[in-house]
Amino acid sequence: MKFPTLFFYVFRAYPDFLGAVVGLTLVGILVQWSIDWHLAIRQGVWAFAGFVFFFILLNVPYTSLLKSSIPIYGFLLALLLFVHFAGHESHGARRWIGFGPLMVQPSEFMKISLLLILVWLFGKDLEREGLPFEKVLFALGITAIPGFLIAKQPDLGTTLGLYFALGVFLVLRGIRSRTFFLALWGSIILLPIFWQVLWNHLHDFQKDRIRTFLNPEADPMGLGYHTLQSMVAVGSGGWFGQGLKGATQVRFRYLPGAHTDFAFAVFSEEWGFLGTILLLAVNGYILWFGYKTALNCKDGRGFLLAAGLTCLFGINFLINASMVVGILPVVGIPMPLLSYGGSALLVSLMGLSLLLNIRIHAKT
Amino acid sequence: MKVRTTWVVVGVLLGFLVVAGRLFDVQVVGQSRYRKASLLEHQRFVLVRGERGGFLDRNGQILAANRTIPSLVADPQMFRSRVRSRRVISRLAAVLNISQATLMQRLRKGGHFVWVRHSLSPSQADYFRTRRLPGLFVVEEEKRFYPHGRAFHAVLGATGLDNIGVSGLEKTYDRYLAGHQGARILEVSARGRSYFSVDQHPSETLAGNTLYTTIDSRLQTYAQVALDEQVEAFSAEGGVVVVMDPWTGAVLALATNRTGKTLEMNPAVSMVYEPGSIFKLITASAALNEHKVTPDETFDGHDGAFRIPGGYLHDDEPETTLTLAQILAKSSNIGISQVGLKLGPDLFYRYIRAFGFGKKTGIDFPGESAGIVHPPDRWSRRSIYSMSMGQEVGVTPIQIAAAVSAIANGGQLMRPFLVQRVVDRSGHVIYRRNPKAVRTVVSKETCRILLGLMKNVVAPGGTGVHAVIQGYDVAGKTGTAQVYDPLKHAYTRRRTIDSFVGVFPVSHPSLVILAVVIKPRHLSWGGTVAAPLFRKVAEMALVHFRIPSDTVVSPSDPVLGGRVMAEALRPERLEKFK
Repeated sequence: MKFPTLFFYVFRAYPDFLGAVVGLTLVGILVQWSIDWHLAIRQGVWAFAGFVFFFILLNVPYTSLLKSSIPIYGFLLALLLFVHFAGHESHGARRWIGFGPLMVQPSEFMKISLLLILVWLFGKDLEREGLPFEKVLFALGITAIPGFLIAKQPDLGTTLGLYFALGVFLVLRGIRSRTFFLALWGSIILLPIFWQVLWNHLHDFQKDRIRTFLNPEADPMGLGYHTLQSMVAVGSGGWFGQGLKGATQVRFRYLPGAHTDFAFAVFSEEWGFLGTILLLAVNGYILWFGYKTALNCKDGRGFLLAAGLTCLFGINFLINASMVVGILPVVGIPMPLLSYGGSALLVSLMGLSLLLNIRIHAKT
Repeated sequence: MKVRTTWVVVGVLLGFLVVAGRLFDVQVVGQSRYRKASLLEHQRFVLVRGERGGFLDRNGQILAANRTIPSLVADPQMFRSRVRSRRVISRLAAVLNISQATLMQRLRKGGHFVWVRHSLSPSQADYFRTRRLPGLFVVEEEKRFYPHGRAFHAVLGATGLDNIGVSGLEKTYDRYLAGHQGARILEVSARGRSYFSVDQHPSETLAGNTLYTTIDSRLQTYAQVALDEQVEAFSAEGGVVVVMDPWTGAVLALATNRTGKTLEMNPAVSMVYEPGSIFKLITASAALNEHKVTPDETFDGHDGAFRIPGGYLHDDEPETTLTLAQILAKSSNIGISQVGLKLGPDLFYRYIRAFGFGKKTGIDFPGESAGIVHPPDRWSRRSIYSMSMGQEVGVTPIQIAAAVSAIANGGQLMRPFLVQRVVDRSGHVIYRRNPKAVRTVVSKETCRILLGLMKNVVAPGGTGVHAVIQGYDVAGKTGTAQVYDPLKHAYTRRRTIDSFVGVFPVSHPSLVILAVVIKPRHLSWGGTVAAPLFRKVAEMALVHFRIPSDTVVSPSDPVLGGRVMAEALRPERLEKFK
């Protein structure tokens, strides 16, 4: 199908899905607007760019994307190296590549790229049982290289995101039971050592976050501040919310990171319990759409990619929501489509575009 | 493979359920708890005080009000960088006219607040308001403001830290004057910046109450001018003028002059002194009231030397016979001692107490003294003589004014007062100090006789001849108290407290004026120092209150009125006061 035809086809064939995605993005812009209209305008520009990519990507069959996954991976790895040495620094972290006012985080794009290359390299021979041990190690290596670079930025959230991608892939792809138990026993034995090494390499604020999670009320003005403020914001929402400009926790700047990691908290305070349930439902629908796409896909790689993207989307959503309501420690994983951040928005929209892509282009 | 996918989906669904459950717990169940936490966090409750109430005189003239004056404050943290702040400091020094070094010292401090200058001049305030130099701010301070100036300081008193009354009426009526406590809710951001505030009570409703004093501002001003003149002319240490309405006890003017003394004590209520001859009025009225003497009775003058236990009493003008009228007019010590002897210690003491001596009058002014009156069982054999002529007792000026008022009004001792009513913001009277008769001291007849006798004091030949006012009958009494010198254990003639008390017009007593001059440098007595002071104030009062004359001259006489008024308001006199 040619571009214009495809464009209109998508609108006619998948209005629900498109509506859900556009709706979530608009809600995200609305949340940003309630915090500061400057943010809303920038987020709006990114969203526009994101939807342009969304439709361009639809024209490229996912199979060709998979075929070029190795160059894409290489290119992003190069960008990450560049960031490592000459990236733009902000708030003590070096994560961005600047093109004038346009700042991009290559690490965000790495998540999708990693999934693509994993599916491309290990998505063959689905009928055989599980991945052999050496391939699992190989996959771990592919993940660990960018993971290391991103962790050094430092950006614990995105690093975790990469490992989630690997984990999701391994679960979906399956590994040999021998490998599984080997890994299990190995990790049980090696975990204390790994934990010690990891702990030593964590930054102080990251350690504090973990300590805080274990005991949030110990120091309400200090370590537990994020979580408590977030919960106060969410709790203040009540049944129906405080309205778009009624989020006092945000208005008086009590909630740090309100526009990024805690955008969901802002949303909860403004829209209340009914709003959050609606948001959960819409996100649930998107996940359901991804699940159906994967199951209907006869192509093994298409299945893996669709399922992987869906799981990543779901995990990001769940982790962020859990963090906001105080179930999980504060990690820098943004809420898909809601949090401020051009790269994250772009990546979320590209991932969803890929889902639609598989739906359209896969052999059924 | 598909099975695993389904398991993943089930896992995600479970995650959704957990999040949804938690959301319900936080948003619906914990709603009130978290809303409260949010309010606690960003709302600050601040207490604010309303404006302090003002003072008005009996005619509604403003005696004390508030005004906001601009002051300059600085944030020392903004003066950390040397280069930039030097420029600001040099300009600041030029405008405020202080040296850069002192400014630097003042600004080199911790914290975020330091006073640079209280009460800027209007041009300075304008300068800082328009230039907006970094780190400098103009704030408005509320300050007490006395439109009539110095003459009222001693009566109204002063306010100290936090606008709390520390002396005078400001202290007595502090709880009425003080602005009410109100609340203000500030919405505060995480950085402590406040975006907006909501007053829980409108600020006007918090204003303190207004006090209507009994003071007449023009009379007070004039009395002060006259007193200051007299004190200066005689190089005295100070003086007191009390003008009282004898029928109510209302104090119409209370001028004091006490160079070098603090405002904390007002001599009109706190100075205890021996009244001297003025006290003879008390002796005479007691004896008349008890019918121990009659107005026509004659006493032996003993040719100016009367033997008493331990010595002799002397009169300045020796006489062979004296009537009660002459005793008062010439202020005869020998004569009044015989009156006192006829009265006897117990009766005399009872009357002294009845006139309110030895006890606070209860005037609504802080720091009042009770004076000193010993009971008869502690008297010596000489005491009856001494006390008859006003020695061995300690009184305050306000006690004398109140006691003479009782004689003027027909025998009722009135409680003196300075504030007649307290009015709240909406005009309701919330406190009224009604005239209060403490007791009936002497009969009307006694008063009538005594006032008649007192006229002779101001008549030619009397000691108070300087108090004569044309067209009016004045009943008065002079007093010259020798000050007891504790070093020499003796009374000294060199240092005296001279006083004159007058009641006028005699036919319908309207005012009681007490004039006291403390320790004039020059040799003096009550008749030459205090009586002229009395006259000056009395003349002004006559015109001011349009008091009808007793004699031919009509009250509204343009000639008399004009003369006195012209005298009272002579430009250089008022000039001096300013």
